[in-house]
Amino acid sequence: MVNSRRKMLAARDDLADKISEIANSKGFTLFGMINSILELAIEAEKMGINLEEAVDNYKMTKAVKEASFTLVLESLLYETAEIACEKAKQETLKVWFDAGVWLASQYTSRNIENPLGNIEKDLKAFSWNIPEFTIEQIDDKVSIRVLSPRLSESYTVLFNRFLEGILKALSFEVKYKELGKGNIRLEAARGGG
Amino acid sequence: MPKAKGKKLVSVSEDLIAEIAKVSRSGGESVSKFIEDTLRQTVEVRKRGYDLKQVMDCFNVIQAHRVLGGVFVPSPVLDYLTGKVYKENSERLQAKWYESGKWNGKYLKEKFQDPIEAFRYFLEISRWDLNEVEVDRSGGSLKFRCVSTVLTKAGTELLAKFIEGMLEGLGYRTEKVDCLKGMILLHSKR
Repeated sequence: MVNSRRKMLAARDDLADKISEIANSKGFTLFGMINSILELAIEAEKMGINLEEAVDNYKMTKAVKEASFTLVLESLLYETAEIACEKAKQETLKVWFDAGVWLASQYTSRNIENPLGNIEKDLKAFSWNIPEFTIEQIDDKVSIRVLSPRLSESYTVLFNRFLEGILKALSFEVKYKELGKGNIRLEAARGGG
Repeated sequence: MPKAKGKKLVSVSEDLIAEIAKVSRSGGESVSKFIEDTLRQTVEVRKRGYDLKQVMDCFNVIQAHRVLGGVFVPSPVLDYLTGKVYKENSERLQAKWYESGKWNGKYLKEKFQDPIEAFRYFLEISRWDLNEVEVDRSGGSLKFRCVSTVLTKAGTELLAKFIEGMLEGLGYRTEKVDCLKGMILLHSKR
């Protein structure tokens, strides 16, 4: 809560006008609006973040929602995946593969120019548990590299199937695969390249 | 609003100016630059159709998830995994989800000024599969309700355990839980 003693400060008039418009649309006074904005900015500054970063994060959560991802505790996910793999490996692999196909179809159905580039951007943002995750496309060839010491062996295999599902939906055929705990390397090409 | 050339005078709380002076000094900029940058960024955020408070709240919640070891997983995959594993491991999984909720609750309690509001937002942000999340507080009591049209029975039961754990972490004791497929009703007391 801010105190009621005020000081007058000069602000760029175009910005002050815009903020005044926003305040009106939200039913705030200009004083109330500016002060709540500054409180948020101070909080952000103290946390060491800038607004641009916060906006990117917000956009990411919207993309996550569109891609139908949900948040779960990492350790719970790995453990559950482990048990599912023990019980029905082929079926579990198929579910992950299908999830990859579905995700890629989401992007292709939007008719965006570079679906793989957009998938890469979003998946990198979603996969904060994977420190090294790159998808490189040169013409009709794609190279995917995943490296994370945290991934369990079963989860690595499942995540690989998810990536293969994405590639399949984008008409890429896997030409080379290297798979180990926390380590995936995929080389794929289109049109038998 | 009094007006100078190209500038307008706006009133700002003295407390905030003192706070701004502290943070802008550490960043090597002036108070007026901090204010101008903040107003400019706010206008830009608004132009993109976003609300600054929502953007910041969302950032805080996602940061909390990062700290607490949250990861994203395709929802159908999570549904499948829990469905496959739950029947024979329900007690073990419920205990794990409860413990994980408790951790989350304790963290929110430490980190947020209004942990119950943060809890509501935490679920809204992290569980897109929930169509409604309602938290009703009165005195020391809390009523929680969430509805999902897509949540499986196993998913609902695990989420209920997670929420019970979370509320315990926030300092509430569960008095009653009604858990149907896709719906959780929970009463707690501090």
